[in-house]
Amino acid sequence: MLILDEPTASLDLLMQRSILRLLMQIKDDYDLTLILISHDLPIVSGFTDRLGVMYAFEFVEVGETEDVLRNGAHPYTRALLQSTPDLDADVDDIKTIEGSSPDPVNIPTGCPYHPRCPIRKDRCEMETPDLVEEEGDNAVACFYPDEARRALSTPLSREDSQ
Amino acid sequence: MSDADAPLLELENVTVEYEERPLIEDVIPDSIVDRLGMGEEPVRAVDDVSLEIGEEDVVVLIGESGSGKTSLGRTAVGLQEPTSGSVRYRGYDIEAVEAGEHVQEIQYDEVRRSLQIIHQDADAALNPYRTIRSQLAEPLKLWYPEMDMNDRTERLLSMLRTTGVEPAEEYLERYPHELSGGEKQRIAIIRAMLVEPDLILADEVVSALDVSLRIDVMDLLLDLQEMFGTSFLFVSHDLTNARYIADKADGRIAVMYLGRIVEIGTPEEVINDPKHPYTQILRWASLPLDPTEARETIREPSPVMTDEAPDPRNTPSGCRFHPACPKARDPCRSEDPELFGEADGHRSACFRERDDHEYWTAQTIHEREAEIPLD
Repeated sequence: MLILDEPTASLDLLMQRSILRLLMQIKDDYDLTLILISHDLPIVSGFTDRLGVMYAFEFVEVGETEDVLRNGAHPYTRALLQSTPDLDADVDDIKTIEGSSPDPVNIPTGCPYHPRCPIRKDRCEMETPDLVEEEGDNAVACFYPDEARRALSTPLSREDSQ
Repeated sequence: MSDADAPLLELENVTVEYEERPLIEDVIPDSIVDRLGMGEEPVRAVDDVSLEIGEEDVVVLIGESGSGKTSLGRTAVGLQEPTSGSVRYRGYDIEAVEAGEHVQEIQYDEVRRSLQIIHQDADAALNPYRTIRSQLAEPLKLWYPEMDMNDRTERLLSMLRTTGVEPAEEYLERYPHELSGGEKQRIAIIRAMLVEPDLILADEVVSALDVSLRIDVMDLLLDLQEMFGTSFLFVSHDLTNARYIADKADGRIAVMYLGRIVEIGTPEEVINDPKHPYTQILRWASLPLDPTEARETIREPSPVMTDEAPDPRNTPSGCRFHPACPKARDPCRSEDPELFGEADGHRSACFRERDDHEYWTAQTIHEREAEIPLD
């Protein structure tokens, strides 16, 4: 097993692509298991089979990469997708995540994402949602996954609905 | 020498070279250095580049390491002297103004104040031992000595509030280590904006930040740009950030390769309809967010024809991109293409822009001509 911590973060675009391709080849040739730590969603999108989204030290959503990106439910996952400056997206649709990232020594009560969450309810301030399995292999730590999917659009959900 | 219609900033045929001398050459006589052939060729970071930046204009320079984008940016704001060519601020040659010419019309201090820089590393740009108040007050004391303390404090507080650093009173008394990365970058931005410059060089200002913070900081810069009418020269290695800024600000993107601008135009033109093979390859190299597409693209072999990284110490003859270019043909080896196209339009430094060029009847320099996969 090989753990890759932001392996291409400081590289030029073309170097980044050749390193990624090389890593893919190594993975295939030696049947390796790779763990990629990254904040770059397009790389995660092309490189990984499964994806775990972390917020304030915890997984908030885990599942097949394709499912999480296309149909992820956690409002944080959806906000991340929305804030990715993808070349194919309309710039006016790219939105930053409201609020500031969690203070590691003073994590909010209840759901740690609730201060920034656009669909938060009273319950989210009191109770911490567990990572609950949905259909398939996906699991999400949110009390209101269906509402999140309905209310919060992402570049990929818009693409699907067209 | 100058007229009211002169653009804010004009770079004309600017070349920047750096001498690269091994340390040992400083301790042995020049005659021996020459005989041993040790004296190295200078590195040409920027090679004969012309660029105009107007009022309230936004230009993004993109390119890889060694493309000369930072050197060109630093030359534009007067931090680096060009080896040849000229940089004119409102029609006045900056070097001449520094040498004391045109003193009746313009002072060098005014040029210095008008051209500011925001660095990539806000940590290094801020003094860890001084409060935010003391660091931000300094440029005001320097450029506006008539301002009293109360006015200065008012100015700082309003600037902090404008940029969303609140509670502003508290932040003034903090030290840099008490701020997050995004807040430090905001302070660095405020420091550059306080003296009301005409042009700001923003050198990779968001590349060290978390993805979710990047949009925040870019939005802040865009707001300030609109509020104060400042022009911006952004330097970035990231196509997505470049496009975001240039698109939102109605600006231009200039793609640099080995010291040259090889393509320039609106983001719509450069990103959605790239003409230069190098830009097309950069476009290919930016992975899409869509998992199906990203998965396919990531395994595609690179269309770059050489494994060697571009090296400004060893610029190829003819078109400097030809050894790497999948579209290179015979004339590219010997003839250096200029930027073809209308002066203010979409321009590309590639013979493929000229329908009547002998390029079209020439042979490829590779075994076969490869396609650049673009969706």
